[in-house]
Amino acid sequence: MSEPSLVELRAHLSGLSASDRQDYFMGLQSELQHLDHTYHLAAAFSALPGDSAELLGPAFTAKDNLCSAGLATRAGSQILEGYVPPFDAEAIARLKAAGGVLLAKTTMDEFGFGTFGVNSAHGIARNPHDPARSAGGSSAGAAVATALLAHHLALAVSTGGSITCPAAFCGVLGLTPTYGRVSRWGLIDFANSLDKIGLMARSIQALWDGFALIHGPDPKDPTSQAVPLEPRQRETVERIVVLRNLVERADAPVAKAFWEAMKELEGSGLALVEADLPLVDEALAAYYLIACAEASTNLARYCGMRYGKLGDDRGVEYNRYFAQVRSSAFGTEAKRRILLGTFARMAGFRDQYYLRALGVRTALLSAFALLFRQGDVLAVPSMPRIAPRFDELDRMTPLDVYRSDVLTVPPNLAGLPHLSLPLGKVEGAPIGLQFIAPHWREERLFEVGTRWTELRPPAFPMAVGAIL
Amino acid sequence: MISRETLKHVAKLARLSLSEEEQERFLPELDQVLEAFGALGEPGRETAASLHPISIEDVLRDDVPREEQPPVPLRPEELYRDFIRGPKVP
Repeated sequence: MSEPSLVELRAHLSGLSASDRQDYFMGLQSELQHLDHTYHLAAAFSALPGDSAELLGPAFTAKDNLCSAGLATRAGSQILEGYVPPFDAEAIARLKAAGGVLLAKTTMDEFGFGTFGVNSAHGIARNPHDPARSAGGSSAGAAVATALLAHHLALAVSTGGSITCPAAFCGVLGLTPTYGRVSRWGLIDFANSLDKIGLMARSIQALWDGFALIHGPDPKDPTSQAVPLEPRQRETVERIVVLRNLVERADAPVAKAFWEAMKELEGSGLALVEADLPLVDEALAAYYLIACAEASTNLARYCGMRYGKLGDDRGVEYNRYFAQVRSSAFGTEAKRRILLGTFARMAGFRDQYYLRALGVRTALLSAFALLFRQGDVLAVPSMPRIAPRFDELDRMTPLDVYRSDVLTVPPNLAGLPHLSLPLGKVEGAPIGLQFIAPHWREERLFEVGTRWTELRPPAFPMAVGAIL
Repeated sequence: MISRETLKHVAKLARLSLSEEEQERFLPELDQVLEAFGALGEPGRETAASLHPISIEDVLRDDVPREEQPPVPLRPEELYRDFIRGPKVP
């Protein structure tokens, strides 16, 4: 049975009586509790609403760094323990206004700091295709929920690859829109000039439906822009530019599968062009320096007052109080990034690191603009490798982990929209294929995504919520 | 090379107190990362620094009076009489 879109689902549900609709969601809830993948799903969710009887519309989940009224929002951090926002993030509010129901919050690396989903204070989501492997990060729970739950849309967030990576590792579709396309109001900031709210789903249609609902300017977020969304099929995609030097960064079996996919697309009538993206290593460095610099200022607000965790002893001098709370509640990776970012902004180092990193971003934008003269979309593998096993992760240094983002960082640093699509499996683990479009040209991604999913329809063998 | 003194200074600025073990751990890790990320190309690029990947046009709302959202209630342990309770100021 093909996957119904959210619109179809809404039409289906609106044709049911209220009690039948309730049965549908109660059934969904009870399946979550009883099927084989309960364990994975339980790990994927970081907070569930109390009263499931209220579920009467199409279900969606939201990454736990998106504020949700009345529902715990902790961004994977102990320091936000106990924080229950009084309002919904704009993206959540828009889905709710369209009849959507927030089914759960999904687990993530603390504040988005991670590539493999293991830096969370609320449990580690395991890969549903192989529980010994990472589900990817930082939107780990969103990808696991999408792999296991039919008829559901996941709100996720990407700063440097946090949608593409887990989507690829869990075999689902992941859309990262243009920076500024979706309001960041209500998002717990990681890096303001890089954070982008996007979606994961099981079909292009479901992604499009969700994207059409959440995009657009918002007076509450001055970086959200009023660029109209072109209707689908207005833009044609005829030429794909393969970023050859980035494909060379991928492990051999991943690169092989990628080239086979490109040949298949060529066989379907698209033209392939090969080109190199300059500044790849500079972009990775610039991304981490900018992201950590911004994160270190954003995280200054968590100090044991007002939000989340409070310190035990208020009798101590205030700087000591702040340091005590922060040192006990931030995880190791959060501390590492705060230190890196504070260092990069410090007098004497700012010109050498932070300002030069901003300059690299400008140069990268020009490089991308030149590449888009050669074709309509760019293509690379989603990740350079398959999802690592947890015992492999133990042996990786922080620098090894950061370098795993080499394929996702360039479009993220440049704020370009990109789409990760399932590309079969290597050693039993899913891999992905990633298309990148110019700013504001998401419709090209939907065009080429439709073409690819028609050639190779994605399969979801572990569906839990197949109720319709 | 990042020295232990520099690390301690950065931690102080960031309001983090690092244990001896954390210092031992972070020193070589940060060194490795900063050495790798020193490769930002030739100096001079900083003149082209841009703060956002797109050109931002401010989105402003109309200046219409409206009711304010009620403030989030504070937890009892955050209050002292009618005051917000904070740590000690020397």
